[in-house]
Amino acid sequence: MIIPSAAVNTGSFRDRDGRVYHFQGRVFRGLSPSALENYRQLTQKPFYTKLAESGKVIGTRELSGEQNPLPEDVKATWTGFLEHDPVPVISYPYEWTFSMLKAAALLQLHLVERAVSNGFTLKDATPYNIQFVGREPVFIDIPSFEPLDEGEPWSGYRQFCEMFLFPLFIQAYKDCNFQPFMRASIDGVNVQAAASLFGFRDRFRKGVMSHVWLQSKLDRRYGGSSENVRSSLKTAGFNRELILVNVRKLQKLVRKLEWAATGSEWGDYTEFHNYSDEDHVRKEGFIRESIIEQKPEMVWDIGCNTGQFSRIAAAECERVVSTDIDHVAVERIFLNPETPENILPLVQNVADPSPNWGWRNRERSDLQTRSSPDLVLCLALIHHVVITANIPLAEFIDWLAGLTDKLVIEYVSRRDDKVQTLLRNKEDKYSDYSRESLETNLKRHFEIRNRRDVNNGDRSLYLCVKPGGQVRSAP
Amino acid sequence: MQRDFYMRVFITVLLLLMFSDAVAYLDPGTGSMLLQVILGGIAAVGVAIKLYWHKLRAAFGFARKADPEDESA
Repeated sequence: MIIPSAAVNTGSFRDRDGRVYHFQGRVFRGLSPSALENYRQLTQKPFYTKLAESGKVIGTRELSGEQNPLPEDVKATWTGFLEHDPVPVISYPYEWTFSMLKAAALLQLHLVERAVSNGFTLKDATPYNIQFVGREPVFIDIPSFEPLDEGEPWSGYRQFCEMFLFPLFIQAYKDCNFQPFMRASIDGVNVQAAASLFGFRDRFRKGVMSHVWLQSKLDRRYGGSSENVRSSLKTAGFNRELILVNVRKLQKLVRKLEWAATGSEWGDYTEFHNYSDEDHVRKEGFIRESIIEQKPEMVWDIGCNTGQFSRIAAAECERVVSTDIDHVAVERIFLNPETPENILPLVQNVADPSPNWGWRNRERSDLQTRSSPDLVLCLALIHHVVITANIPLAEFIDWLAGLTDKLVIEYVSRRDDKVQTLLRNKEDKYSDYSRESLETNLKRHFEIRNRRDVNNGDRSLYLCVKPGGQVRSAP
Repeated sequence: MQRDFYMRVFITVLLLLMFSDAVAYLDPGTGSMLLQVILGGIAAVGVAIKLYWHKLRAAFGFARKADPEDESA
């Protein structure tokens, strides 16, 4: 008999007091003796019970030996085990929008404020400990809570700045997308880099003088000091009130940060699309019918813009991951009160997607590893992929075929003014960009089950299904 | 508000006077920990003065050897 092995979460190695395991579609966490003791103390605290009830921390329970289905070798490694509710789709801060990172930052601060007020603290402050379930941020790293050693400063403060505050400053004060910074460095924007980015004038913006400039000065001056500052602070009477003053000021600061989301090339697409109302209804109908017919659980809407077709899909399936290169468009989905709970909007460039990276290139994974679509919507995207990003059409279809068994794809003909605009200043070397080429390439992998022409045949929608294609279950 | 600002400036000056520039090993959190005293504003004045006072005493040779074990005893 083959005993199934538990998959170790490759991103959970940093904290030596625990490790996350995936087994039979469930999520477990092994704990060291001290981490287990901390967890038991934590669950006795009314503040934690309240956080758990409100859904701000992930549903978690301690497992007894009999309840624990993990293999014996894993069981022998740790003193105790927790089980966490699974997160439907894991996402990372470099895929979030400004408001998503802001919501995560406010959750982190709220947890620190609640914990410190009640004799606990959080030993780190990283957005990788926060996930979106529905559109609410949820804290998933329960062992981050530990009893507060009175007199100690907030050890996560610097990390909070580098992983939350500085990226938010970059977006709010410099109107520069923060995601590339977070994807470039797994530890975020370090203090010295932030000080270089924010010039003299920026020092007068709220929070920059103290959290960026002064922190960088103190860091340069004392970074290499052999003084045991932790102990000196304790002796001098540092106390939890000082942490709380700082955290409450940070809450006020973060709440006030706003990003004037302007200048998007595609953000107004829904208002200015080149469809007649009648064609628009035909397009929506095709998508709705395809999804009802194919019954996918998980749909990816690649190039979702402001999510109007994601909403149609979301009404007929369990979950939609909506991605777009345009930060403004994705931000609008997140902020739109009409966006249903089962849509997860993420910033993602098809031509430069989230990589496998971090320690051994396994700490953070690509989106395909974290979520598996049963059906992909690829609407009015192919001309951008082939003509703007210069990706050969055949390769793009190969990639889609590797991703999904079911595909709804829209072809935008060369007569369409959007394509004309893209070709305006380019030498047309895109002989592969034609309807014939698309259909030939689709047929290499799929059966074309249905086709509907809209806009006088300038645009066509195809429903493609792999021969014998089974609905794949989500991981 | 105004008072809090002046207190922060006062604490900053104290802290900047306080430690020598000894380079031993990389301790990336030291500056950030000290900043938390400054951010504490009025509530942190006592802590800053005490920190400074201990350093001053040490400079004149009056400091007792600090042992964290003794502190809790």
